[in-house]
Amino acid sequence: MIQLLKKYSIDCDTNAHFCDKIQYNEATPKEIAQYKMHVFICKLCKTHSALNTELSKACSRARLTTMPKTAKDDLKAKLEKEMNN
Amino acid sequence: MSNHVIDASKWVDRYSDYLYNYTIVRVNDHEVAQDLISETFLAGLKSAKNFKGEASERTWLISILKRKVIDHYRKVNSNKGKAEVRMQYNSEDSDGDWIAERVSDPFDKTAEDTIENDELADAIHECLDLLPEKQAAIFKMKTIDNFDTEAICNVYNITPSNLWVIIHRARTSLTGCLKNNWL
Repeated sequence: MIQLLKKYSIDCDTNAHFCDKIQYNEATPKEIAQYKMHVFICKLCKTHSALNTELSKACSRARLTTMPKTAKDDLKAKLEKEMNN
Repeated sequence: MSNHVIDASKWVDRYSDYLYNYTIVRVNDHEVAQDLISETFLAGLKSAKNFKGEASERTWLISILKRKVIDHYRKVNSNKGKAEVRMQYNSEDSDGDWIAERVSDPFDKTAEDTIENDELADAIHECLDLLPEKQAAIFKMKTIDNFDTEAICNVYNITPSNLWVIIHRARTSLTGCLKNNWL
């Protein structure tokens, strides 16, 4: 059991990386399991992951949008033309 | 003494997303929002010589945009606009008893929630402004536009490991900034 835990244990940097991947649903099941195991024993990572998750929630709650790329390109062209006149 | 200088060539990259969010909340129409921002930038360019540099470029552009939004509503509420009865159903599925539908909010969202979320969006944009340009752009692509890791890597010619490092730095800075201002 201890050997199994050692085999799947990760350091805090790797855990932070997995935590980021989880926010974007890009972590593998193995990474999620390793992350959960690490967060269970590491208080520092638990705090970091809570804040990281809160940031994701805040971003979705704020309903952020960006201007479409085509509109940005059009606008850039228009501004450039105006600046050259 | 002037502290800020105008660099119109960077306006689209630096401020278009912020202005877009600001406008979309107020006019609720993507095309109108784009038109108003376009008008704002052009008006800014024309009156660039009046920019004293006391406020930041963004604050100055927002003050122009505010006037453009007001002008937009003035136009909509002109005599021609008033003559039209503007009622729309909340969704395509809803028909029939529409007055009742409009009274009850299907998403159970209060005005306070909406205001709070708008303020949160402003706070996130303020914090995004503090990030290095590339970091902010990559964070927006990944988090707001939901681009694939591979697509972003191709655009910026970086490896997935580099991308995750950039995302991690951006998220850490944003969390710190929002912790002070919001969370």
